[in-house]
Amino acid sequence: MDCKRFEELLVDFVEGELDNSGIEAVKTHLLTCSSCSREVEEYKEIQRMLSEESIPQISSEVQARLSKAARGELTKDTPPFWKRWYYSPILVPIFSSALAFFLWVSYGQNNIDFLPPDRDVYSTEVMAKKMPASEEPSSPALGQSASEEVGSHPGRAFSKKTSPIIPKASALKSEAQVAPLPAAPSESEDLKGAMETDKTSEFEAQAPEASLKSRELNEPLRQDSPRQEFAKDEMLKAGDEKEERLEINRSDERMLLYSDPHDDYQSKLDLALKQQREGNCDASIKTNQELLKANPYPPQNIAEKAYLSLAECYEQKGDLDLAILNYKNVQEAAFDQAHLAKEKIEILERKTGLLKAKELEPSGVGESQKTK
Amino acid sequence: MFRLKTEKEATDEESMVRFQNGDAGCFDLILERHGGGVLRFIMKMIGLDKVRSEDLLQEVFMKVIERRMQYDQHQKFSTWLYSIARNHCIDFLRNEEHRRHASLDAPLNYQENDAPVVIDFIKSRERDQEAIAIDRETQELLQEGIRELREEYRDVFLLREVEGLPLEQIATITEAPLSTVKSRLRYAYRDLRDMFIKHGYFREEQRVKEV
Repeated sequence: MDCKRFEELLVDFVEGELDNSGIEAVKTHLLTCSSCSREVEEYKEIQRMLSEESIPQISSEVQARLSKAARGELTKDTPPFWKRWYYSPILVPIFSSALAFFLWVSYGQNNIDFLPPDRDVYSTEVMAKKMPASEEPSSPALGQSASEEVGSHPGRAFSKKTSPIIPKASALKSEAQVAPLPAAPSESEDLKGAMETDKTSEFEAQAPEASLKSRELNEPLRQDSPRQEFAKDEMLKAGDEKEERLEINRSDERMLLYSDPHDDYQSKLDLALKQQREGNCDASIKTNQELLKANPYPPQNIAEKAYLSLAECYEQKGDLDLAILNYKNVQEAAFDQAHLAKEKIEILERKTGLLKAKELEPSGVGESQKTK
Repeated sequence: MFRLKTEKEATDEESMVRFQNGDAGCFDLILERHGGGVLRFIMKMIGLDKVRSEDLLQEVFMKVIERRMQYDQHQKFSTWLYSIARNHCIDFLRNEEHRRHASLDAPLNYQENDAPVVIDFIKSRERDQEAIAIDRETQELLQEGIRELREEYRDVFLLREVEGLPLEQIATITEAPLSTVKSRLRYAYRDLRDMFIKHGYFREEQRVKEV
């Protein structure tokens, strides 16, 4: 290595950027060349002098000024609120749809009107449970006023007319069942009530224990304690208001129930029963037949009532064979009324037998007379 | 385990990114770490006193604040910072030179006022016992030597020997090839040594170079 080459490598050597072989080569040259070795020494001497340099301190004023400037600059370019990250075009739809879904899960499903799997949802017991405590028929005053109302109601009058021998207890029982059910339309309500009273009057003989039970049930209704008396007075005072409120509740519930297809059958049956009541047997028969031909087939409880109505109409008309047929249908459709239907059939068969006999008798007489 | 670094633990690059994201505290940290070094570089590069250098420092850091979004986190922060500082110094020197040329009639007080007056250096060298005083004098001589360096040697020399940056980084800052940086550094040393020899600090000898 010569001095020129050393000059080239000096910086690398002093700065420690040479590899081992380079370092060795430089060192061997330095051993032989005094001027180059002195140059290295001087280089290192300058480095030593520079290493004694101290770092100056920035004055606190400058520091504060710069710090303030940085903060001022940062606040200057803070994006306006509508440009911040949480208003990004990705996050906004995600959050809003998540919110919508959450709201639907928590509240939306309550308004879905689905057909209850069991018709019993509309049974009087269940409806009675759903009623608020204030309108529970346990209040004697309400019960009484309701029965008074029933007495004056044309529908109720019908039930009384058709079965004048109904004991009051059974009437109350039907009332107790009906009163807490403001859900159905009042007219159909009354008709249902009429049907039930009819049934109960006929069942009376068959199932005395049932009527006894109903009487027991209604016994506490009649015993007016002083407090209940007071309540009764109160009720009479606010009677009109209460009735109005009840009426509003009923109409509300009615609105809800009309959405159910069950109601179409019910209204048709009501019509048939009304026609029957008015004595328009042909129309009633027609309506009932339409009802029974309807597709889908009406529910069991409606069908059995329709058959019963048909049977009664035919009976009224005097078409006993068809009446028997329909009673048989009732027998098939309703197990609980099978007994009643059977009895009816027996009566009617006996009647038809008698009629046939009567028909036969005059002819027989005539013949005999002729023979005579 | 995973743990967020505190401000103090963050590297310069991380601090700068945090500052880009609106953390003004990180700017204070950067200023604290590099302010002194940059101020020293400016002082030696321009050859001004501290107060006037601080004005320049302030301008440099104002540029850092304004251009913070231009900083690429993959780049070494010190490279970026010293590029700004060096360019600012060169701009300043050009303007100064321009001004000086514009007022040629005016006396060049600048060097007379600020340059350390070398009084009889050889005499002072004889008083070996006053080592501290000599040291001060050599320091002053060194500063003088640095100031006398050519601009392109000076920045390389200062960045390497005073600020201690690696040669590759200096090449980036000065926008010159690494070999050029090395040769500039060598020239800077040669000039300084020559100055020391001229002032009798290093022994003047007949240097016989092997060819």
